[in-house]
Amino acid sequence: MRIKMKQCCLLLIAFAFFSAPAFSQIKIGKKSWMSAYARSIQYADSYSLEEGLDSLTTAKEYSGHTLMDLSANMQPNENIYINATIRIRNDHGGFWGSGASFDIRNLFIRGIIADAIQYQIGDIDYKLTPYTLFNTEEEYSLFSSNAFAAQRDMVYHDRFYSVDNTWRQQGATASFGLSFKKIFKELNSEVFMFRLSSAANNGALERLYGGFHSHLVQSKFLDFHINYVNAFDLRDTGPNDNYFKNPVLTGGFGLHYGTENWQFGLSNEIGRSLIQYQTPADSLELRDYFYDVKLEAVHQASNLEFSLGYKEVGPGFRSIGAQSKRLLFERSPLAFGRYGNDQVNRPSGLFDQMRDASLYNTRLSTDLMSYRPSYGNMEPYGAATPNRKGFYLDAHWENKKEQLAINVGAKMASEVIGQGTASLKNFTSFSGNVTLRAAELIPARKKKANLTLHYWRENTTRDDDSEFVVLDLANQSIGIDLDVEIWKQFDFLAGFQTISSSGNEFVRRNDAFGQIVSFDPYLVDMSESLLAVGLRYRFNERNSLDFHFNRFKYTSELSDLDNYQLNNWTLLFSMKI
Amino acid sequence: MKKAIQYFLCFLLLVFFACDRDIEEPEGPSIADLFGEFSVLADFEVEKDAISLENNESTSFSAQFSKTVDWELEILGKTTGAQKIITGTSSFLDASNATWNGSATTIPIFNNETCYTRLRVNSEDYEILDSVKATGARTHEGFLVADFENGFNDGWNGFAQSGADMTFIITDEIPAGQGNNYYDMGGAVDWDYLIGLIDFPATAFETGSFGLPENPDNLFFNVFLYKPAGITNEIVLFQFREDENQDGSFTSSDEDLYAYELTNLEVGWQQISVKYSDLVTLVNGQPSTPAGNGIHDPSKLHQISVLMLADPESGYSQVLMDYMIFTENNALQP
Repeated sequence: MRIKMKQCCLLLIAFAFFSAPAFSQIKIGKKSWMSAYARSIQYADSYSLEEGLDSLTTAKEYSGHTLMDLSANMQPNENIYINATIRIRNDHGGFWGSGASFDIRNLFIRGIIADAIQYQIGDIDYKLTPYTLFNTEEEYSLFSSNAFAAQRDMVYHDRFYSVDNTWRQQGATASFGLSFKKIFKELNSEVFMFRLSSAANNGALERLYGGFHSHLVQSKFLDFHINYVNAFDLRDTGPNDNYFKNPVLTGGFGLHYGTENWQFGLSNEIGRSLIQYQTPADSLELRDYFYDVKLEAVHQASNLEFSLGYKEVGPGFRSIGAQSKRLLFERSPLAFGRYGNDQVNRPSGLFDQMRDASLYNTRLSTDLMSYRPSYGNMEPYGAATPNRKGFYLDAHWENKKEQLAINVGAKMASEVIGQGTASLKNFTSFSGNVTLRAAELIPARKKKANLTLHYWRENTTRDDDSEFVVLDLANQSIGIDLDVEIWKQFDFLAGFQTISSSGNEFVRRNDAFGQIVSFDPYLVDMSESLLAVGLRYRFNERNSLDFHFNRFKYTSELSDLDNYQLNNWTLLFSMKI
Repeated sequence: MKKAIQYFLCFLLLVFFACDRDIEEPEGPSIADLFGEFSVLADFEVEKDAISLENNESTSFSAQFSKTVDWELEILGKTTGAQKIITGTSSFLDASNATWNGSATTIPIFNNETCYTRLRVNSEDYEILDSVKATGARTHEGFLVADFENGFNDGWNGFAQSGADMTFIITDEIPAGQGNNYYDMGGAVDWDYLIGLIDFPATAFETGSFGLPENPDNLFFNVFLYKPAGITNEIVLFQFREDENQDGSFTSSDEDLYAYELTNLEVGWQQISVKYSDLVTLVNGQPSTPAGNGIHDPSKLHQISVLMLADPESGYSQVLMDYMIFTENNALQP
């Protein structure tokens, strides 16, 4: 097989600049330049609980900060690009340096070696597949009103959550592409190695995360992919004998076929995992596998997209890069973190998750992290949630004038094996979004006016002869979003989302190796609602000023302490240079 | 190209079929057991009304619960106070997990008595009583040195100082560790550590020897001792004299004398067991080099001596002794 070198180089350069996720665009032709992200936000919060239940918590809190992420971009030659970003933050009220902080937020070097291999060293945003390395969206992210997004995007920015599900890592990557004359068209490969934790942390061993990904294109009809990741400790790098490793190998192929009106695709990923823990006292090895097959069809004439898939993920399948969660449910929010006369920790709610970056995770977890069944019980660890098998269906339709868009999704699944009983849990979920764009719908209306309705419901059931094993949990979410330009570059934003959950579940309690040692009964009958109303002035596409009012209510039939309300005024200035 | 595709598909199939799953059973403990209501589905029953300890008979217990629980079955000797504890985690009791062969968890040993049985499930506040009759005394495989049931053997040598309250006698004042009788060693001697002693020479046996095997790593010396409440100064010293040259006597200058010294005993009956090869030579209570060949050889054991000692300034001391026996392979299972 002879490789055409010129084609190869062109492909490499194209691959280098367009394939890697979340890279800033390099401005060719400049030696160095500055870029920045800046925001200033001020909150005015008030909190209320039923009279007599809380005489200790302050009823009002004011907080805010101004920050700037200042990036120095350098391109000493056409093959090297360096980015260093410093965050300067000053909490409001911290005069003369008090409350100010300086952090290195981003630092990497990227370049091309010998016009053939692209590399990056330092901070890297990276992802592979939903079963290997994938930053799955947090719960209730199916619906995000523009009124909520103003603050949620700020959280995503702070936690390095890019739109394409990457995890922020530190390490090195290298990628290259080859084109072939016969049999295959091209091969794109990447290798990477990241440092998950250093040996200096609590005497732990040095932990690395490495692997590779290859995508082989045979033709426009057929391609293959293979992925390997492994999180592993380096022995003798710390004063303990604990050891961990978690290799995951996956692969699959894609079949693509098209006619004048239809495009069909068959994609799949199958793989296996091993997780191994060793301590001087005990050890665990767990092997399992998964497969996921999806058929996709697109009818171009009607703009209808449809997909149907089936998957099974074994109960022992472990992939820390795919199963780590964004939300840290055990954390209390920064605002009103304790409440009630007993000053107990306040669990986070929709409102906190919209604006509090401290509730979000940035590290890959070796354990299955805790989750909240009322927020989503079917796939708390994303597509790679272990012990699930079933069908999933998605459909999207949008008329050609883009006046109306409809998304629907449905899933039916069950456990592969029971937990605490031979009986299996059954899961069903349905979600739907309808978006109306009045500017396109009403010819007289020139300005933006978008209305989105959202509905989501999920049920978990388990039948059994023993009444103590039976469970029935229903979760539901309804959302409305309104985004209207009322006057020149002035937008009226309104969003409302309510979630409710009632029923029971049993939450697993794990030992040090992640194995179930017991179950905690989980009883819930709650609802949350978040209302946001605000005005936005868009100076330009990258610069805006928002003034919002938010109201959050939490109600529960099980505890009076849970019935509280938060009101908030937010003034947010954001800018990207 | 077809070959390349075939190779890749084969690889994928290999990946798939090489996949194995370590978890095949339901994960975690049974939820019904953890959270279900407890009820007794079958009453607690003792298989036999009476068992013969001397014939090594056994009996089983049965019961059935609605869920898995941690249960405890206690068998308590009415006369001796002997106790056997059997525990388990299950939803039932049967011969597989609740069988009693007359043994005791701690001494004293059961002896021809009515035994109370009590099944308890602490987590459910459940308790039920029954009884079983144990006849005779359980026999143990081993080389019995003394159980004091047939009086003072003429071949033994006893010595007691002329101190105060001296009681070097066989008696049955309290329930014995085994059988009915035990040896009471007590007194106050204010001029010497030694209060009294008793020798068990090999010549006291009909065969003229203890009849022990040669291997010291597989032989255990066992004895029951009882310390009365209030005694804090006891020192019990066991001496094992070997007749290495087999001349019928022990010469301290060139033959091995091993010892085992005990202080700070617990109050009440307790079993002392030590592997013969773990015995050491002691001089003034400190390990020392044996005077002979330094090879533990139980088959040449010439005499066992038990010395009751106490600091002369510490006043009265007392220890009761019973059931001195060598066992092979394991320490005595009472």
